[in-house]
Amino acid sequence: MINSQEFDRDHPPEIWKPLIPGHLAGDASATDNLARLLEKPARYASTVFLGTDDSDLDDIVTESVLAVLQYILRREQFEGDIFKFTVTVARNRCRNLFLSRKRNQQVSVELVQEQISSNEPSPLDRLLKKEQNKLLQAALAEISRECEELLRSFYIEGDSMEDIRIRQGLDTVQGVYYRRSICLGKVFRLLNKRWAGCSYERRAGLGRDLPSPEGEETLD
Amino acid sequence: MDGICHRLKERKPLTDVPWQDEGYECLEPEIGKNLWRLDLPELAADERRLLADHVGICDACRLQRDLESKIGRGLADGSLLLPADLAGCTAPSRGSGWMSGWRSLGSVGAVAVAASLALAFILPPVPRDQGLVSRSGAEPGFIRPVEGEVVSPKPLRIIWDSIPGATSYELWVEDLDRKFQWRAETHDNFLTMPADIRIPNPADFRIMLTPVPGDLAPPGGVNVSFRTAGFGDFVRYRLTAAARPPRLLFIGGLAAVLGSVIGLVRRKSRKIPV
Repeated sequence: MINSQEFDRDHPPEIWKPLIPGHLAGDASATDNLARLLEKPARYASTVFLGTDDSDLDDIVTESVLAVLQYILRREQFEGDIFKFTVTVARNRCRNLFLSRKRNQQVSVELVQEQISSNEPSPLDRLLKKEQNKLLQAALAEISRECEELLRSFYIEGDSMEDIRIRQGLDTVQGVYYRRSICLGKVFRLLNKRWAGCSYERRAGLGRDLPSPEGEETLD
Repeated sequence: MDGICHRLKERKPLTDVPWQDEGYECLEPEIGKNLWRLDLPELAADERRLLADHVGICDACRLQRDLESKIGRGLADGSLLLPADLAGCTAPSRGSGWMSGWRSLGSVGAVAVAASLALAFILPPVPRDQGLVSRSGAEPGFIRPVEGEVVSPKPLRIIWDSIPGATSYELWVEDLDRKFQWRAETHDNFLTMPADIRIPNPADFRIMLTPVPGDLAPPGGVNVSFRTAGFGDFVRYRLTAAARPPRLLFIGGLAAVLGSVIGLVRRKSRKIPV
């Protein structure tokens, strides 16, 4: 795992924090400097996933940095560890890429010309939808009796929140939403692991052969 | 429905994947943990915006929101089913989950207990040696009642082993106080006491069998002792004197039922935290 503390050490908040107001104010040089700072951890995290020769490496790095910059603009501030944040964005982007590659194997465009020209869902789309449903159904089969009752009230019976609250023995309606999130959270965790774990293999040990941003080892 | 059932049959456990990665990571867990609040109708605008911005960049949370939405839609339109609605599927609704396991165990246990109780009343009880002369396996003797048997006060049916060479049998039934005595003869190896003969209840009895000719009787004669009693004593006796197979079946079934109850109670006690 990337150790963002290494970046913190080499780039303490005193270096990047003053760039934030400039970036928010539309100062192109501040944005440029911030992007350059963030590119290093993004590239490193992406390289651990993709390797140095991957054709999508640069795109992932650029997307990750841009996503962070846009997020700062939307939030009009940034609190926390910006390098850790960037690393996590990059890692998630890599996961997206792996999932996409896993599910959409590269094929010659000529072979799928007719499908591309059609608006109908392709057999592959249908297959993916079926696969998603299958995974979801399997995960749903794992939920507890209490969660099942709650989800039934919520989505199938269409009971009012007040009725669900009373039936669940809760004091507030917020508690109902929270319970639902706990129930769905289990499904999410199962699927998250499933998708990540079976979609690709991390290049174990690969990072050790990579040059770190500052020529240092930065793996945990 | 059939499609879902079919797909479930094919599914593999969700945990059988060799993990190289833990999956999507939340960028700001302290914000992500409040993602559920996005659905609150009365959520403050600032907080809603904070959460929405977070979802905008956090793939993990976006995935979670997508899943929640898809599950909601799927359950509403019936393309996804809750475990109880999968009852018609041959695949277990919770896979090999504990809930289904406990319930199955309990069901099997209950059936075993019921079967053991039925067998305890159907199969002959185990004879008891009450200090009287009892039959040995090699010699002819009484089949019913067995030694020490408690019978309910109803027309008594007496069965014994045929004695080779005997042309008929003479039966003598008496209680130990000698207040009741009854004699009968038959050419068969069984006899049902006539319904109009009322035998004392409760009382201890002895039956003596004499083959004709009497020389065929084994040394010590052929006799058996039994007792009449009320229904409660009769049931108690049949349960305690049950043969080994129903006893073992009962113990196993009871253990399964208890295990199932304990398992379900423990599972139930794991409440969803609020």
